[in-house]
Amino acid sequence: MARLIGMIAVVAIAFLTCSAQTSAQQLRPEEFNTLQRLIKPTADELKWEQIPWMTDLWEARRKADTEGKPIFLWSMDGNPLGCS
Amino acid sequence: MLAFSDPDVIKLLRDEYVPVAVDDWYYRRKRDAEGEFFWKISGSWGSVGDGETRQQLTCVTAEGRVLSKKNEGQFPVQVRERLRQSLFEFKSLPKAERAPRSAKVEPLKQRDNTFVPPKPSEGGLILKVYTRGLDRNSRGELTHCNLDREIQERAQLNEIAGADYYKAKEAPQPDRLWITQAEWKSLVPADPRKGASFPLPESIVKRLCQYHFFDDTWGLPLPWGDGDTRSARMTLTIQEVSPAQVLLRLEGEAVIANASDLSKAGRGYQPKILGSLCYDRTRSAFTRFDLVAVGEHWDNDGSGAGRMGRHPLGIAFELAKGDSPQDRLPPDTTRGGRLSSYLGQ
Repeated sequence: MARLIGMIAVVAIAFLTCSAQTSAQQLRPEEFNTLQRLIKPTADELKWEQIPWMTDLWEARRKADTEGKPIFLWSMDGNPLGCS
Repeated sequence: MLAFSDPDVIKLLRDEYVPVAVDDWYYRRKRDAEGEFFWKISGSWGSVGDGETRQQLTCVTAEGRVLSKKNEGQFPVQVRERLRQSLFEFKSLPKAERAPRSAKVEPLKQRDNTFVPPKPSEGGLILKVYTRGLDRNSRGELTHCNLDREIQERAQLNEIAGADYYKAKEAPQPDRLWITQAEWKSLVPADPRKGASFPLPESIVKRLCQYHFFDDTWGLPLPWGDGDTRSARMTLTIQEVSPAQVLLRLEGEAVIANASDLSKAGRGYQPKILGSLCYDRTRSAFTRFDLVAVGEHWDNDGSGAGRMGRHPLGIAFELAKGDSPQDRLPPDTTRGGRLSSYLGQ
């Protein structure tokens, strides 16, 4: 009997521990805003968006011709604006 | 984006140049006047061919005279000086070569549409995606990742790139998620009832798991393999209903790994997912579509495009206006003709 009670106690403790850990790992609705702010870029990390990037080379060429300015071309395997 | 956060670089590009960013995977394959212009100004770094990339920062006139050209991945001071020097050279050219309309560039008459980046579908939703490496502090709380240890290791290996190059990878990696009109319209029942729950459509679950739930903070990602999503559950629950709007909560989890036995998987991600959606009934449109996915990510076999080792990873999604060039770029994993697979078509 004592052995049975002991076994039940062990199982109960294991269940509660797992539940606590599982519950701790679930995302709570009240965490949402904090997590979103943590992951999204800070204002400093978004400064590059102040540059008026185009993504069409020929249209950039036409604009440069119209305005009498040089072109700055950033070409990468993968659009540079799509990755950091 | 380290160099392009520099205030002097921003000012130069905004005021003195026409800045343009392109994916050379498409441009080196185009067979039209635009492709010819790209080849003319980008030249070759090695042998010429479709497989050779043209990754570079080029200052060039509308006519096609190259003012400077350098392999990309430069630090702020180098980009700044290159922009200044190239501008000086531009302004030193005869006026006839740099005056407005001197190159007489006409609209492109015929465009090679074989190799153009895909565009968002009509009526679809565009979500901005941000993926950020995370760490835990001594209290177990999630923080921005700190790559000082990785930087130190690379310094010991005498890697050329330098601390700034790797520090830049602490910033979140942007991407886009596309949801078709048919998909988002299916998310709100015709007669919504508070408390009703239903699964997120399988096509969106698959797209999130296979094409977005990975660490791409260190390089260009490839999607997970077809069988790598080991389990995924994402459930929408209606929180509030009014004549004006329907509020929904998304909650779920996923297990993605490149082996079914997680203890043997070289790479994997186990996120918990939470989302907050708002459907405006008067406009028949979503006005909020925010998601976060947070969980442990590991890469012990180098098969990914992110940080090695085991670390928490956070991914955030939010509705984009879709009116900026970067908003309308295709999702990173649709390159190389993968759009149909991405959309599950």
